[in-house]
Parts: sequence; structure tokens; C-alpha cells
Amino acid sequence: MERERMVEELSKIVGKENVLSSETDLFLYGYDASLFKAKPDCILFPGSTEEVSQIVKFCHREHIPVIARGSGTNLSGGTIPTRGGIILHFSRMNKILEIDIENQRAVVEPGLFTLALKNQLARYGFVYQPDPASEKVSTFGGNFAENSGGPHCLKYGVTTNHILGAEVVLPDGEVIQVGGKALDNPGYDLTGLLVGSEGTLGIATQLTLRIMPKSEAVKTMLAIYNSLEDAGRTVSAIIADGIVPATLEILDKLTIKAVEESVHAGFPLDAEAVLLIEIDGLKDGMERLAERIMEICRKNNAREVKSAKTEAERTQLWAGRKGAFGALSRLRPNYLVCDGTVPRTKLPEVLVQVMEVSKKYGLTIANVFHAGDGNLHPLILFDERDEEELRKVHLAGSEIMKLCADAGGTISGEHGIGTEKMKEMFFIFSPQDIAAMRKVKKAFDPEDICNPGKILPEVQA
Amino acid sequence: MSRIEKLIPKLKEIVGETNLIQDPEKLKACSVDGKRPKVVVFPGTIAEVSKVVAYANEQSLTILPMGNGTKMGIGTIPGKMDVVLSTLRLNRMTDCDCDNLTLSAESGITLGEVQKKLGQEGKGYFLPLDPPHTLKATLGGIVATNSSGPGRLIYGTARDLIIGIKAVFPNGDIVASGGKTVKNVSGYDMCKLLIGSYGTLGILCEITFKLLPLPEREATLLLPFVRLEEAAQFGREILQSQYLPSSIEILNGMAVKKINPPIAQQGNYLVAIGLEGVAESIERQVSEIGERAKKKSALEIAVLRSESHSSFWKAIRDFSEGLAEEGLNFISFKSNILISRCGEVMGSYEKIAKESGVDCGLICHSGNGILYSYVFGGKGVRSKKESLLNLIREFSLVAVKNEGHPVVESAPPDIKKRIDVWGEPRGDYEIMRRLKKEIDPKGILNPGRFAGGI
Amino acid sequence: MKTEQLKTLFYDEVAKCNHCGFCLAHCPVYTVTGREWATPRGKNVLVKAIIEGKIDWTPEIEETLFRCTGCKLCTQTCFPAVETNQAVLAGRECLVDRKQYPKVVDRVVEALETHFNISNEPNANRTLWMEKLEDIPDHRFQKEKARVIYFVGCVAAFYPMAHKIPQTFVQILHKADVDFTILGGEEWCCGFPLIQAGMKEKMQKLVEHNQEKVKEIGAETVVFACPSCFHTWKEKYQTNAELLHSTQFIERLIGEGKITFQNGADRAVTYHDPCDLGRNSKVFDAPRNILKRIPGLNLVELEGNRQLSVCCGGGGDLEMIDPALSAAIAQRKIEEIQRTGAGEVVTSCQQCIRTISGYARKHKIKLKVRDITEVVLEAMGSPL
Repeated sequence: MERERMVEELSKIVGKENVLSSETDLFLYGYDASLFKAKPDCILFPGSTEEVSQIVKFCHREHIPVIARGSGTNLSGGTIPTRGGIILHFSRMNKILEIDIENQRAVVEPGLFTLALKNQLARYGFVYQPDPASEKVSTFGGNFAENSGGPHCLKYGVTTNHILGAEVVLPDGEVIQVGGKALDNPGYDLTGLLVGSEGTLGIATQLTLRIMPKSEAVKTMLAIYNSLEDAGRTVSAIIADGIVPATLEILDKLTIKAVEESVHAGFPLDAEAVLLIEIDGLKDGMERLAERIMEICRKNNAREVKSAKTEAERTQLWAGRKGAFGALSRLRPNYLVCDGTVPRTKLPEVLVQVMEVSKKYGLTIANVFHAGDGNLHPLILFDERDEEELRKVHLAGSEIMKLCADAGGTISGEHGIGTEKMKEMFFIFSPQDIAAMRKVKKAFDPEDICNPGKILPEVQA
Repeated sequence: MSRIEKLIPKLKEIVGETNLIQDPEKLKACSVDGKRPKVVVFPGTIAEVSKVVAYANEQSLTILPMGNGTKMGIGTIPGKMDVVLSTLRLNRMTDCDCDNLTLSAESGITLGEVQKKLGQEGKGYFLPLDPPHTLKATLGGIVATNSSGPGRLIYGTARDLIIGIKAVFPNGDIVASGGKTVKNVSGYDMCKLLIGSYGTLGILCEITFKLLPLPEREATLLLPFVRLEEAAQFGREILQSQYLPSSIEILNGMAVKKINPPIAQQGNYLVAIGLEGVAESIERQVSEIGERAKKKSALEIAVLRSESHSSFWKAIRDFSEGLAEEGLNFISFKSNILISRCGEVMGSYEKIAKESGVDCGLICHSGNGILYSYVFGGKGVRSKKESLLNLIREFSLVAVKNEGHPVVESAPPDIKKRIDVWGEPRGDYEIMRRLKKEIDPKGILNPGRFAGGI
Repeated sequence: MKTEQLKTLFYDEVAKCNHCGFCLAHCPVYTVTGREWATPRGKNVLVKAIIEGKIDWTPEIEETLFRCTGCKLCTQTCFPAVETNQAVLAGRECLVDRKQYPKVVDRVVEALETHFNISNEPNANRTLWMEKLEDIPDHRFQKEKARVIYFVGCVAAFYPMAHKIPQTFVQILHKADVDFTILGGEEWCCGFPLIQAGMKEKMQKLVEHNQEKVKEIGAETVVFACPSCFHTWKEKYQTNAELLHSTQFIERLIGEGKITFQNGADRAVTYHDPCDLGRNSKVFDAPRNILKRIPGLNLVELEGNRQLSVCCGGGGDLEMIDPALSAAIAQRKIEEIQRTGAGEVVTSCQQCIRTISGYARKHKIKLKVRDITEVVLEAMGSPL
């Protein structure tokens, strides 16, 4: 369809002021936080579920791809309009619809920033647990589509454990409600299936979330190491000891350096790695548990273990963790985050292998990751303006994925497959596995309207 | 020779002569809602399951997967029932990786056996699920029906604990999803789709769970209240606090009587608070929650530990087994409702039961809004069919009003015939039917028994 | 500026932007528009695309680059600290070079070139604010020699809504026995609007004139109540004189015992950090120390305070270029102020006062918006 007519038709739905289609705007909605770029045909800012439904109906009728988008923080190219089409941007649907303390639920629109809800919940002494590093801008629609994680997911689970229901516009424009405020609705767990489906099965227009009372006490510790492997070994040892802290995060030397230049979190510059540990819950017995953890750290060669004495100290340590990715761009302009995940017992050996990849390709790799989940985030640093380097980066990235897969792990712990890792899906899935997923896609979206060309690679018949 | 008889040799070839039952008398043991299958097969490996399913698909035979059969009564009365596929020979723990806090096991093993073995590993571990049928329930049955227990308040349910499933799909494909990493967003979350799918999309063969170390200490507080509102209010108060109980159950007098817990006065509403975790925090919660309960007019504060603690929770889990042992005919419901409305719904259910002239035991996972109701009518529910149908309708209305659905989990066939056991239809059933159609186009897996006619 | 120069100066800078999108949480223009063009990320991407020849200087790019308040909260919160505003200003210079910029800018340039003020009035009118003052000394605060120059700034001099600031500040200085003067009709615009307009080469004449005046008067110190004049002088001027903001100067006078507070004030106020004073000139403590010295005054901080203060909407010539956008940002600011529960916001910038109180008045919102000099004078007791 010609762009002009498309814009005209769609303006009737959302109003002229909520349609963008200039060359510049097409440029501005063709990227996310990954390395991929493409151009959509136009961008719409719907104001209601009804408008979203009408737009999707239009796309369905005209066979135009439709891609939902929030803050565009995606790291796997999930929001890239690789086949053109319409971008639905949710900045106008960004309200908290309900905070229902009695039932421990919140209902929000997809464009709402995660932290905006958390700030409101804090007034009631409540929390929404998932805490993606991008939470100050990550939208609930994005969290839903990507099944976002975050440091505290070690103890509390990822987004899917905290989204209990959704209003969803299906790829034919029909609006359904899946799940709800009550648990265990009869029928298939469509909410569970839709969370993490990267916008390929439908578009959420409302989310029902689980919220819970804030922990009574929290204790944050920092263990400092002269070897990255020892830090990895500590994590395996803590888990093997049967302790599941709220978080176990590792930052390596390079990351420490970048972070210190950026936010001064108080990490020692001469350390090879630091391990950020947090436990929470009731205050009773917490000191004893902390002592047990610190003992494990020392046994695994931590040269020093200290704990945050004030809330300010704790905030400072976390600022260092949350800003780590961005801070690394101080060293080189670009980074590729490999989101591989391995069984936690395999951490030390896989870390060594990752560093071998770094040597093999002559690329700088920084490590900052959710160690307790076995979720590695090797960041390959480079300058995308150097084509040869970029080529090597992609090869190295894929090789790291393979390492993780071979260690019994997987190719994405929380960032999604998106555009980036479709090929690598075969590292972990058989053609039969993929075929089964394709059936799911087909049941929801037989015409391939919603975010086409993502997640599922072509399977040779 | 009937059509199915012609197909038996091939099935025998797949699973082996001795792993197939054809004897009509023996088949009785596998009957569902009074209907008998034509054959039961016991494949011993996932590859055999795959072959059986592929063959059944080719021949358009329907398959009902079954473990120990504890959940077979849930669902619409089966129509065509050719093959029962028993998972009981798939009973191995395939990868017990306690250092990684994960376990992979085949679907035919019972949870009871798994817990026993995990308890003996290293410093002692467990799979944090506590569904009904403590000894008999198999992992496959638990997961296929998304069965859960009181501990879900703190540990969650199958959807929170499962990280990988290997299942055989209707075309015979062995489909793996997830794995043994605790975080995984590679591809669609097929595990979520399969959990609670009642065997309609695939035969669950191997499941990987997250594990936890055994808690340092456990205790239970039993707090009887005269009035339901007081009990419900107290449950809510604890739920909204920073305490971290593993369960907050509310029982009505009838349920208390059947369970017969070690408290002085039996006929009241009982709030049972389960506590598991770090020793110091358990002791503090026992004393502080007990103290609070006293102020809120609890009739007594009973603290259970060790043996009495475990047997109390076993009695809660296995409540329906207890009724069956008494030889009672009963109808059971699982209603999911808003957590703040548990007390009101329990009150309404009691009132409705009273008006229908039947007894009603109520056990509510009040922190999760899951209410189990057991209606038993003295001399048998049969004579009261009409009033029971009316009761089911009224239960349903109350649940719907509180944003939930009542599912009739067991009832005599002549009542089941007259109702939709899955309650009021939901708006998302159409897409569920499309999923079923796409994955199981011939409708061979447990057809017609699930919600939405799936 | 030519595009090639843009590449030399800013290619590496904008390449540091990884599109992480964290700036979306902070950018006041994005907060109210919800559009990607408004984001610092989007601006970095466009400048990079221009440099790489992937996109032309479209009308939308012009619109985008001229809609940045220059608050620099993005750089403050950006982990690689990309200097987006610098790139934006350079982009504006390129646009000016192509004669592609908002027409309203020409009016300001013309005013500056003919009258040396942004108001396009005779520059002698710079002292009209004095007319309301009673009992002022005969020299009318204009002396040939003085140790201190008070540089009033165009907005405070010409816009009646901001007259209170010079009116109160001269009284404070006078009461504190400071040997000071204003430049009156000899004060020329500091040049800030030209930097924002992408025409910084045109400011040289203004700079030289003002620098010369400091020399003539022999001042050791130049004091500014306008954070943007202050910031511009600090960045672009060469002078031996000490440059201080009024809050720093008042703090010093308090320390020297020359200002004492007689009148208590039993109320809660909040303080808004002007971008050019706080984040961009790093003056955070002086205004707070002053407020804390006023007996009974209870300072309640805003959610975004100090380095994280959010722009009022009046920065970067935005009020001139897109008044509606500026007002929308002001609305958010007012909401943030209201959330503190304080009925009064104190700030130390005439532009912030104009933007915030202008919006409040137009929308009949009950809110006291005051410059810190007013609060100080009131607490000092009797007027002149």
C-alpha cells in the first residue's frame, strides 16, 4: 500500500497528530539498543485499546506488519521493523490504572515506565519485584514482550512470574483478556505463553501485575577478588550450599574501571572482579546467613568482604551495577551483550572459555552479569564504524552462544532472540522444537502480521 | 475383530508384549467417569511414547495420558477413549543436580518418591510443590493439571518452578523447551503452555524443576476463630504484613472436624499458618503472629512442630482422599477468586450449602485466593441432584462475581453430564481452541475433556 | 558550521551513544511529547546520521535540534556522559549556516545587533525597573568606579514580571553596604541567546564590550542573579574579575555578618535548582545554605534536586521557539513542586520564575514562585 494512503487511513483512527511518517521519523523508529537498524512505514501513537484494535485490524486486512514499541531498550533487535510496517508506540498509553493493595495487584498500561510504578507502590510499602537494569525507562509492554529479568530475579523470578493477566489485541485485531487478578484461571496459561513472545503473538494493552509487601530487611555485601574465576566459583558454591540470595552479581575488572569513572560506586580499581550479594527478608537470622555467605566468599579466595552500612552505600553499589553497560561505552563506543545462560555449576569454566574467545578474536570483552542465575553478559566492546571489527564481533558473539549451549545452557536468559539470535536457535533447539513453536505462532498469527521475522528461524522441511 | 484390535500388534511391537493391557477386567481400573479404554500401554522410554503417539495419530486413535490416575476425574466426561497411555514406567530421576538446585525427572515418578530421594541428597533438598495426593500423585499428573498446595503462597506453583519440559506432541515429535537454566527466554515459553494443559497438547515425559534446600525449621500456628470474618480478616492482616509465612489457610468448621487437628475446640473457623525457613525468623513469627492473634480474639494459639506439623499439612493436602476413605460421595470444587474476598466467598458458599441441605467443607489458600469446597450430602448426593445442580450454579455466580471461576473437580457422572465442569466460558477460549487445532489437528490427545470443549 | 566540521568535532562524541534509551526517563522534552525526536538518543542518532550522510538536513531535524532546553540532564544521567547538548548546538550552527532555522531567531538577532538587548527596546530602558523603588541613592546604583558590578541581565531588566529581582537584589546589596554598581544602559546582552541560536560567532562584539566595562569600572567581582548570564560569562568571557552568582555572593555576605535575618518565616518551601546554576555551574549549596539560615523556614527538596533537577521548560530559547512545549514542561515542573506539599517554590533564576509563575497564573494554579533574593530581603527586615 502506498504510504500516503496508509497514513490517511490510519489518521482516521488515531488522529493526524498521532501519525508520523517523515523520512526523519522513519529513521528515528528504526533502531533500538541492539546493533540492528531498519525502516518502518509509519509510526502511530494509539490512545486506547480500541484504537490499537482498529489499527491491527487494518494491518491484518492489508497485510502490513505491526510492531509494538516502548522505550526501545531492546538488546536483541526485537523492535526492529525488519520488514517495514507500522510501529505502535505506547507513550500515550502510560498510566497506572489501578493499585489494588488489598488484592496485591496493579493494573497498568503498556507504556508505563517500570520505575514509575515502583515509586508509586513505595508509598504503600509495596514492591513490584522484577528490576531490569533499564527499569527507569523500560515499559511494562516491553517487560511483557521480553520477559525481562534483572538482579533480583534470582530470588523472585522474572517478569513472567509477576504478570498475572493481560488485555491483548490479537493479530486479527480481536481483543481478549487472558489471566486476571485471580490465579489459576481454567484453560491454557496464555499469559505465560504470551510473556516473552516478543510481540509476535499479540500486543498487550493492559497488564495485571503481582505486587507484594516490601521486605522487612535487606543486607548488601561486596566481595572483592583477585580472579574472576574465584568470583564465579563463589557463586556456584553459594548456590550449592543451598542459599538463594536475592541477588548475586559479578562485575569484572574492565567493568569496574568503567563504572568507577562513571558513577564512583566504590569498587576497588585493582580488583579482578567484585561480587555484589544481597539478601532480604525478615531481619531475624539475617546476620547469621550473611556470615555464612561471607565465609563461603573467603573460602573461595575473596580478598575482602564488606557490607553496605547505610542505604546510601547500598544505593551507590547498585548504581554501579545498573550503569555498567552504559559506562562501558566510555571505553569503546559500542558493545554487544551476549545474554547466554548456563547451569550455575558451569559458571567458572564457561567464564574461562569466554575469555579465550576474547583472545582468539583480539576483542575486548567485559563481564558484568547475573551470576546467581547463571546468566552471563559478556560485553564485546568495539566501534561499529570499523566494519572488520564488527564482523569479528558477530562471530565472537555467536561463538559465546555456542559455548553456553554446549555447557547445557541457553542463548538468552532475559534479552530475547529478536533479530539477533535466530540462527543460534539451532544451538539449543531441534527442528521439531522449532516446528512446535511455529504452530503456536500460526495459531495466533497465521498471516504473520505481528512483529514478523523474529525469534523463529526457517526450518528446512 | 474391531478396528482397534487390528492395531494392537503394532502397539505391542512398540512397547513390548508385557507392557500393554487388553483384559477388560483390568481395564476397569483405568476407567474414567465410568468409561473404559480399549487398551492401556506402558511405554518405557520417551522414544516409545513418541512412537505410540505417532502411530495413534496416524490411525486417529484417541489417547488419554495417565499416571496414578488421581486427577482423571477432573474434566468433562470423555467421549471416544481408545488408548490410555500410562507414564508409570517413565519413572526415573534423570538428572539430579542439587549443586545447581535443579532436578530433571520423568513424569511417571511420584512426587512422594522424589521428595524422599531429595531429602537424602547432601544436606537435604526438596521440590517446593505440595499438591494433594501426597503419595500417589505423579509429576506428570501434577504438572498437567497444575496441581498445587498451601505452600504455593511462598514457593509459587508449577509455572514458577518448572524450567524445562520434554513432551511428545500429537504428531509424535519429541519437543523440548526450556532447559536447566533458571532463566531462559529463548523462543516461546512452551513450558507455560503445557503446564495445566491436561494432556491435550502433548504427553509430558520429562520435567525439570528448580529445587530448594530443606528449610532449617518448620512450625504451624493453628488459630481458631468463632466468626468467619475474624478469621478472614486475620489472614489478610498477616498477608499484608512483612511476615513471610509459607501458607495461610482458612478452614471452616466442617473441614476442621474432618481433619481433627490438635486443638481444643473443633467446630470453629481455623486459620492455619505454616512457617518454614531460617530458625530465628520462624521463632519470631510464631511468637509475634500468635500474639497478634490473641489480640484479635483467636480462641487459642496452638503451635505444631515436627510430626504434628507434617501430619496436619498432609491432612490438608489429602483432604479428598480422607473423604473417599470414609466412603462419602462428594462434589469438589476449586474456585479461584480475589484474595481479599476469600472470607465473603466462603460465607456465601456455606450459606448456599445450608440452603441446599448439604454439608460443605471449605479449605482456602487464602493468600492465593484458591478455595477448595467439598460438598457431601449425607445419604448420597444422587437423591439431591436438582438441588446440587442449583448449588453448582450459585457457587459459580459467586466466584464469577469475585473475578474467578469455579471448576468442578469431581462429581458423579450424571451431574457432570448436566454442567460445564470448567464453569463459565472465558473470552480467551477461542484462541485456545485455535492452539489445540494447530497442535493437535486430529484431536487425538484427551479430546473434549478440557475447558472450552478442547 | 559546516557538516565536515561537525564530523571533526562531534563524530566520536555522538558515536558513544549506544541507544540504551536511559535518557528517556529524564529528558523534559521527551517526558511531555513522548516522541523519539525529542530524546537525547534521537538527537545523537540524527547528528550521527547527518555526519555519515545517511540523512539530509530535513525540516524535522531543524525542528528537533531547536527543541532542546539545554538542561543537560541527559549528560548528567548518561553513563558514557554523551554531550548531546553540545552536539545539538553545533547542529544548530550548521543549520544557521544553511539559513535553515526558526524565523523568530532573526528578531532576537536584530534586537541584539541594534539595541544590544533581547527586548528590542532602547538600551537605556534597562533601568526602568528602578522607577518603583523609593528612597534610592542619587547615583541610582550607577557609579563610575565600584568593587562590585551587578550584571542585571536582559530578562530581569526588561520583563516586568522579573523586575522584582533587581529591585530586591540592589536593596540587599545596599543594606549590606556593598560598594557596587550596575551598568545601566551600558550593559549589553551577555550573548547567551546567540549561543543557543547557533550563532555564537556573533556574540564576540557583546563579549568584548562587557569585558571592557568591567575593566573601566575596575571591579573585582561581577555578580549575576541570572544563572545563564553567569554561566555564559564563566564559559566564554575572559576577565580577571571574580564571577559569582547572587546566591554565592549573599552567602558570603551572611558569612561576613553583613546580612542578618530579623524576620522569621514559619513555612515550608521547596527549592528548584536552575539548570545553568546547579547542574551546569555546580552551585547547589549556596542557595540551600541561605535558606537554612532563615529562621523557621523549612526546606523540602523536590524529587529531582541538585544534579537531577528537572528543567522548568524555559531553557535553551525554548520559550521563544516553542511556547506551548515550554509551557507543557512547566506544567510537569509545577506538578513536581505540588507533590512536595510546599505552597511556595524558591529559585534563583528569572527565567525559571517566568516560566513557572507564567504557567501557574495562566492556569489559575495557587503557587507562590519567588526568587531567593526576595526571600532574603524579606527575612532581613525593613526595606530600604
